[in-house]
Amino acid sequence: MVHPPNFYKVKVGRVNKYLYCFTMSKKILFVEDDNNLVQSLKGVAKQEGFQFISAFDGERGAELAKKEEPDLILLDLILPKKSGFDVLKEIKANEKLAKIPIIILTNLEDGKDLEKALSLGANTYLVKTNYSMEEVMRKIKELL
Amino acid sequence: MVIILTRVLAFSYIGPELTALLVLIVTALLFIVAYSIVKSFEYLALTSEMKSEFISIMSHQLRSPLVSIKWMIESFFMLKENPTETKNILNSIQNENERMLKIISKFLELKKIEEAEFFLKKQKCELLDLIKNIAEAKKKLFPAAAITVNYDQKNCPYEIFADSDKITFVLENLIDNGLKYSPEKKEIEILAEKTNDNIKIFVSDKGLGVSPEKIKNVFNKFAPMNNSLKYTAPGLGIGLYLSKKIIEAHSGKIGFQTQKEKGSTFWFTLPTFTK
Repeated sequence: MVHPPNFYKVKVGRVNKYLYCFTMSKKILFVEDDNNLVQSLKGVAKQEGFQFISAFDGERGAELAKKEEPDLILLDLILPKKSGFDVLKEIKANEKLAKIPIIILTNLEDGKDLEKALSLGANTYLVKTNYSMEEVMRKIKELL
Repeated sequence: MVIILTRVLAFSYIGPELTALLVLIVTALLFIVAYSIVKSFEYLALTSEMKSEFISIMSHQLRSPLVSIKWMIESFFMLKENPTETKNILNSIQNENERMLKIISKFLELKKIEEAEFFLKKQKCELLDLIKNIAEAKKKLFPAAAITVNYDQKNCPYEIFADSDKITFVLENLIDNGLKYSPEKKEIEILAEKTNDNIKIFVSDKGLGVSPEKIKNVFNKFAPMNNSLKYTAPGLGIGLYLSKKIIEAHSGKIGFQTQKEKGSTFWFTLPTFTK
């Protein structure tokens, strides 16, 4: 049976009886300057029941993170105004936001960038070309 | 060499002052030679580093539209059927293909300039027609963008003697930059002004503006490769460099005014066509 994704299933009794409980859908913030990527992921994430917000540049990304306190942040590294590294530092330095899982989603494959991002507290580092959107969605669900 | 010089000095000892002066001159010469060698090595290292950085930025630039296309096709299959959504996806895929073609043509233009194969095929052309055609094409590609063309009807025609393909490249590049750096208000105004000698074109946007640390490097080749800018300048750094070369090859000038958060106006001049 298909049920809305922001409901979860609890088994009641011994027989196949389920109770569908409402849960607040998780909020994802995507900081990315490529609007096509944002729109593609937005459609799929919403269909899967997530709340989806996005920011075009690093400054707005950091602002939205503080204002909206999302459950997970997808962060590009090359961004106008403020780099992804600076956004990452800012989020991790903020007590209220430090625990938010952060997935770096970039085209930079340099090992130094990867090491730097992980040492600054990113949970995962994904190179866009190497991952399908389905795999990215799977990573998101794993971290939530 | 130093040993030989010291021996020569020792044999021809002609008083402490003169010897000291000669030793000083020899030391200075040695210092200059050593300094030149170090600088040459530094230059070689920098060139090699620049090449590697360039390849990294180039691959990043080509990857971006490819990833976009890949994700859009995926979302096409993952999303429930919706004709409007499908049309939007196909439209965006078309835009990304255009973007890739442009990146490649920028590289080809750059190669021509670098290898001195840069020729202009000049002919008389109406600049307003070029501008209007480009604006119409952009409106089709970016339906949400407002692109307006303003000029004084009294000054028509706006004729120039130029390579129309190259001037199209400059105009497209300025409009594309305006659209790219205007995440919210995608409003581009193109204004044409004509004096006796020149035609001046202004391309204005209401976008992010150029940040102060980038202003002096805007027309430099590979400007984003500067380490401090690498992560905040999502461009290749050849579009404006090529635009400057093209306008200067037409005896024109190019420049810009910018205000953070208010937008930028890029302008260029071209000599008016005279019979």
